[in-house]
Amino acid sequence: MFPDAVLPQRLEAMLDGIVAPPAPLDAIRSKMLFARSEQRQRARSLRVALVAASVIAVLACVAMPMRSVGLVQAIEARYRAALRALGGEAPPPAPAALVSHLISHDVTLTKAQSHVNFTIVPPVGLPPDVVAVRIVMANTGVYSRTWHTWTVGPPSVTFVCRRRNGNSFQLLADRFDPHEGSPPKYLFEAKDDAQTSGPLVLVRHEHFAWRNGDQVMSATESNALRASEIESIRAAMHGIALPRRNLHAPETPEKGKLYIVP
Amino acid sequence: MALKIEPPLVEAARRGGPPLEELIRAVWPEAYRIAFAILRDRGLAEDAAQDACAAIAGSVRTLRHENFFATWSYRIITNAAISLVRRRQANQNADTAICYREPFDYSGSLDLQIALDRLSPVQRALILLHYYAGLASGDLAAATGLASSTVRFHLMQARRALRKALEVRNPTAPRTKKESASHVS
Repeated sequence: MFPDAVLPQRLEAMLDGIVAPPAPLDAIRSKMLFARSEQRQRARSLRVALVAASVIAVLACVAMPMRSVGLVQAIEARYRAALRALGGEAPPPAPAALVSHLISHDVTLTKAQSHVNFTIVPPVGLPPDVVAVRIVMANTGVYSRTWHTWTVGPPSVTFVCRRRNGNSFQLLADRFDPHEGSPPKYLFEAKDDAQTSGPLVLVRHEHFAWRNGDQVMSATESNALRASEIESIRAAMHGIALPRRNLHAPETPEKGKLYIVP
Repeated sequence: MALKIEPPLVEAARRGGPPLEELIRAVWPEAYRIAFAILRDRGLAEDAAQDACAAIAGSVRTLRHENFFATWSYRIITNAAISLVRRRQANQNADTAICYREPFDYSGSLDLQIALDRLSPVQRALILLHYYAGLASGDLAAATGLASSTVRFHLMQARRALRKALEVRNPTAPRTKKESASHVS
């Protein structure tokens, strides 16, 4: 029997049977404090978060062009978790509808040039064991702090280079925007197999950006591309290295280490 | 509506006075019950209820009038619970029913509980908010982040599924005219 008049009473009786534990005032208080400190952090770290988020969205899509939207979002979530843990403001997850627009496709250099409003300078000085280079275009996801919305931003061009050992790395080409601020020196990624409770384990990747005319090319060190190789590419391209900001990096000279964030 | 908080307490909390903790204590049981009914997991329910209480206490000053407190709180609680579900189901649709581990320990509502278990978390939230908290479709839309038309569709689906599940468990029960004629406000 399912009359509407009976349902409220039955739901009330059912809910009455749920015994709530004592109110955890300390936990709630700390969540309130965390929310306030997040608001304070927002203004000064937003620019870095935006830069990182757009880079990450492109990276994720380029790395997994044929994968599902859910997987792309899961990859992005690892970077988002890292940004939050380091005290920065990470945008909320991009909606699936938007991420589906970010899926990349292969293009020729001529076609890529026709889609962007900057002069593409292809990379030179690549490591000698690079066996194939693809040009991939993908739209960037842009988060507006004012409107709290994600929108599809201008397309960016990515050179996906495959090495003889099967590893691939990416070089991102984008329009230089003097108002965008300095790129981050490091990108942090929450380790994939991090436990749901306990400390969060972060992996630090050094990030490089250089300018050729109105193009900014950027690359992030990884297992497939060492920092010294990125420097060689920049030098061969006669690129002007952009100053990098190190807002969230832990105070340690060591590179490529894991950081435990309590 | 089950969330009954004394208006002077809400008013004092809006002004940022010491009763803020008192307000949290008053809201907590209901926040936990609603979150548990939606999430069906004690740990998740505590987490969602904590998030909701922190949000309520942190933004009660922005509430225009204490009369709106209950509706406003239900929206925050539901939103916290559904956000938690969505975060945990990043790779699948949040509206997909998931497996739950912890049944209610209340035999009097067993058939209703089993019927609710067949709904998705969003549909459970809509049923609770509409029939228990008395929220209209506009508030349901705000609480769940769905469009009003989607809310009405989900509610209709949820009612249909509930009816079917309850009829299977009690096949001799008669159906009423009101049952088939009623709709969302």
